[in-house]
Amino acid sequence: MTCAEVQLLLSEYIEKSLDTIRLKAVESHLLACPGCRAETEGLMDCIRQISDLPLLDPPIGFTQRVMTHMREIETRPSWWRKVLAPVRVSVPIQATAVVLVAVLAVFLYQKESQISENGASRSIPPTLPSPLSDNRSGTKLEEPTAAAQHGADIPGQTNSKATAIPSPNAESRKKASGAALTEQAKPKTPSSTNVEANSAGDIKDPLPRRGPIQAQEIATGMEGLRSSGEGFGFGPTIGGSLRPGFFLPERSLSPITEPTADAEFVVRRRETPTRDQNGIARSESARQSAESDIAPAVAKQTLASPPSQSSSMAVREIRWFAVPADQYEQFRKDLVSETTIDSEKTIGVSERDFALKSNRELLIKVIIVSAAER
Amino acid sequence: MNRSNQTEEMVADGISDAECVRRVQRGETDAFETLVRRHEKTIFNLVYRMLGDAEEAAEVSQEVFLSAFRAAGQFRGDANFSTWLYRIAINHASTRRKTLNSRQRKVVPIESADSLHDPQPGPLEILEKQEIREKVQFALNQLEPDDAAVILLRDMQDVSYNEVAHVLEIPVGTVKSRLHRARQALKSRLKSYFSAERKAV
Repeated sequence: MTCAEVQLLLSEYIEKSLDTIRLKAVESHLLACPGCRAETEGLMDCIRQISDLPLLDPPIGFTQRVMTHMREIETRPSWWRKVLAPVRVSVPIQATAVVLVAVLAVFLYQKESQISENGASRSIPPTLPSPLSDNRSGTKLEEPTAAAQHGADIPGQTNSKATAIPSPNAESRKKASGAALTEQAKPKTPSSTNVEANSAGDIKDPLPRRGPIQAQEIATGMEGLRSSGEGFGFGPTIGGSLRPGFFLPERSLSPITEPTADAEFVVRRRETPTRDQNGIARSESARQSAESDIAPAVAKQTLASPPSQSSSMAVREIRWFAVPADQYEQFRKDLVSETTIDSEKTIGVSERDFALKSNRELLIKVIIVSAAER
Repeated sequence: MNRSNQTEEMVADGISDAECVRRVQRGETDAFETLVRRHEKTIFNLVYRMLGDAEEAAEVSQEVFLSAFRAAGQFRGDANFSTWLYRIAINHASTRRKTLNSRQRKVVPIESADSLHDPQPGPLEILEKQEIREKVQFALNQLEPDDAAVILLRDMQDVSYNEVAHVLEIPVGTVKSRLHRARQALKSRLKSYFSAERKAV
């Protein structure tokens, strides 16, 4: 072994981590070579100097200071972000979608059976639409079925405007007003940009998609996994702008708890007048298809899931919208112009005034029933 | 006694590091305090020896723990928590050293607290030891941060080759050669001092 070879092995020699053969070779070289012996001593000295360095105590109160700073950091991001941080990386978005679709399917099944049970006289939830400020304070929202049953039990609160079977009056009224309003509404709508946003990128969308109103669709059962300000741009507006931070957890529409709608419409998609719109909608949905990986799955499920038990009425979709109180009329007009309204439960004047004053949004439930199965 | 025992998961409080991290990941931030208490001394000393300045070391060590807390969600548990923490510490210390070097850096003398660890040394002995340590620290500060890190991990913290390899994210063979090179560099810097001392003896 040469001096150079030996010197490469000296660190391991000192640490006694050489195998027997190389150890013997190094030892015999060191016996014969004073230079390498000196080198070895120097290295050993060096190691000793480092290992002799005393370990100091960290400054007093070090841990407390770290923890104080840490809690400051902690208050910045929301708790769920940390909880989901390890999960978010590994769980594919498709898996999340599957879970959401399953949840939605259960929800829709419940809705369907509720409607077919109640038949023609579907009752309206008895409670007055509570102001949003109430909901925001964390009030538990009522379960739809329970609410409906209560409504039936309490006379005077059962709304006679049945949702299931539309009266002939409603039919004719809608024809008249619908035709008039379609013309009226059309010129107002330069932008239909966000109309077919992620959640409902479905071509069969029967809902008004025009007008400058700021209506915001809230997709049923989806918000549970979102926090405010962290939406995926989910939820289309009706010709309005999509505001970030809309997904308020308090307003989550989970399958178990459903908020009381301020107004409720049962509508049918009208085939002819919306053709033109559908053309736009189609390209719009194609454009957005890339970013809408959860929502279309849900939308499809929404259309597919209700079992066709009831021949007279099949709920195809239930949609929720949040509409600023001052734009409610416009929303309704758009709805009238583009769909056939079977029945509606509008908001009372006093409630609307209250909503206007408190500058809150109205929660509107739109039940879309299938026109074909009529 | 100087050697730390971080190569294995510590379970002094009955809770392993990995369990503490899991709790932190679940949102139980108090569990992090256990981790800080367990590792503060090791991290502080590693950083201190890399920087040679106790005040800077305290600041950087704090940053190390805060970074670890922020990134706790990324800790997978496939390595020791200490390994992960060492890596963060070395990165932070190396960065700080570059900043310090770019400023006109003063050589901070080793603090007198060193001597408190020795059992009743005489005044001369204190002075001598202090002088040696100052030279060692000075020599460490002259090394490349990576070389200083490998020496400190192996010779001061007694971290195994395998763990050093994990900390620095290099193969074990590279650890060995780098360690050898680093020791050589340190030795040559200390050489003049050692030879002078020997002559004196």
